[in-house]
Amino acid sequence: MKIRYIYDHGLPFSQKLAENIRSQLKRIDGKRASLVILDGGIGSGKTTLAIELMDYTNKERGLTTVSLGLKDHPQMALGGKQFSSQFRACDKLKLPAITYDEAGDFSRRGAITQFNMMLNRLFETYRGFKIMVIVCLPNFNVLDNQLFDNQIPRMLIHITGRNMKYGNFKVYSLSQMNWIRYWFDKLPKGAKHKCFSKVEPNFQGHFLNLLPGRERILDKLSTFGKKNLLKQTDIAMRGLLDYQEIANQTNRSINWVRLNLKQMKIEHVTLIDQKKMFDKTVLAALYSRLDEIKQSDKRGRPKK
Amino acid sequence: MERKQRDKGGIVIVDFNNEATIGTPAANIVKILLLQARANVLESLEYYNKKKSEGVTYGQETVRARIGTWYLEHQPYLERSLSKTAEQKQQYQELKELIEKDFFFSGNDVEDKDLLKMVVRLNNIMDQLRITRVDLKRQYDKTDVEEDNKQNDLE
Repeated sequence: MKIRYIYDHGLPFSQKLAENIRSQLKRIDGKRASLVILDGGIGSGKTTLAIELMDYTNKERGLTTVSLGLKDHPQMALGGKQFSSQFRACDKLKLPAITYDEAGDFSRRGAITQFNMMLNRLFETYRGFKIMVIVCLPNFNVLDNQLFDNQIPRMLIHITGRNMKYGNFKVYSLSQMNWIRYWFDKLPKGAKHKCFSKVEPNFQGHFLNLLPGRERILDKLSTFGKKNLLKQTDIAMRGLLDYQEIANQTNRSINWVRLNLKQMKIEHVTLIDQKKMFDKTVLAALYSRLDEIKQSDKRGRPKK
Repeated sequence: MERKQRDKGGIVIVDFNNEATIGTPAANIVKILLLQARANVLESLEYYNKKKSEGVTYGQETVRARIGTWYLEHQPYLERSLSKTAEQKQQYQELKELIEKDFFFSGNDVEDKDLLKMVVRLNNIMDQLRITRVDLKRQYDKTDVEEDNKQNDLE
């Protein structure tokens, strides 16, 4: 099976999409906010298409392709923590586009609120920075009303499916997005996904995969971002605690915890990021230790 | 501002002595009457056409009378609207003369093609004055997302 990586018109995605990305670039040149949303399920190719779009914007501005190095990826923010710093880096390097890849951010409680706050603040503050922001999300309905009231999202690229050869997408304008959100609210819980079929897309198209070498680099970068998340999930699932957490819970200093665990000869369960992790039973041991200390506490002025 | 709206038929004064609490602007009522008059003409023309096709001798009285009514329904509007350019003025004058000559109190039938020409002419004028124009929505390239946003006041 022959796999294509580029269409005859010289791009890895439909020409119509390129035309629309060009109008977004014109928009940011006029110092207007431009947010492009890429939405689709896990593994649908959101990050792949985002990189292809950024490659295109870079090419339009006479720049090289997007850097995907583990330590140097100014146009790829994997998670909310990286976003602000990467955005400043893009501004410094005069790069025309940045992608925020949620990278599992939304599995954390409260992350969506933080994300919305961040986006609102970003577009209120950095409007004049002339950077097109691409946001990859599993479902664009998590974005809050204020963003839409401020007319910040300009285009939704909804990825509908992907096979070995290509991926499919549908593109909706802001007006169409508002209708999708309307239907999302109206439809019952089990049928929310039908909101897309209720609204006609502005156009549809295909995109191809990245070149194998580039895809491997992207995989490395993407998993690098997700490894930390996996570690955090592992810690939460197993209920593991580090010295800092134990100290907080017992209301004692880290040194005290360290010393007492050593005296009680309690060993750590595992090492994560060179941190000794203990299971929850240490808390019970430390509480009984605290009780013992209180009872035998003879310090201070003798009681009358 | 208020006057402008009133001229457009935008202000509706509600008559609370009447049971109706929602008023209809006079302009809307006239518009409906105009459309009704046009529908009447088309209906009678259709009947006339049908009879002719069947080979039945059938007079033009109804069609001609209805065309006259249709004209009279929007005569003041036509006179006012077709007065901006010399061409428009001439257009109105011709129409007026034709209608007065052939469609009022005249016992003589006109030729069928002239009858049809008159209906087409009135139809065109109504379209020109945007009374019967249905394709008012601006045509634009929907695949241009920003153009779509612009058309929906989301620029």
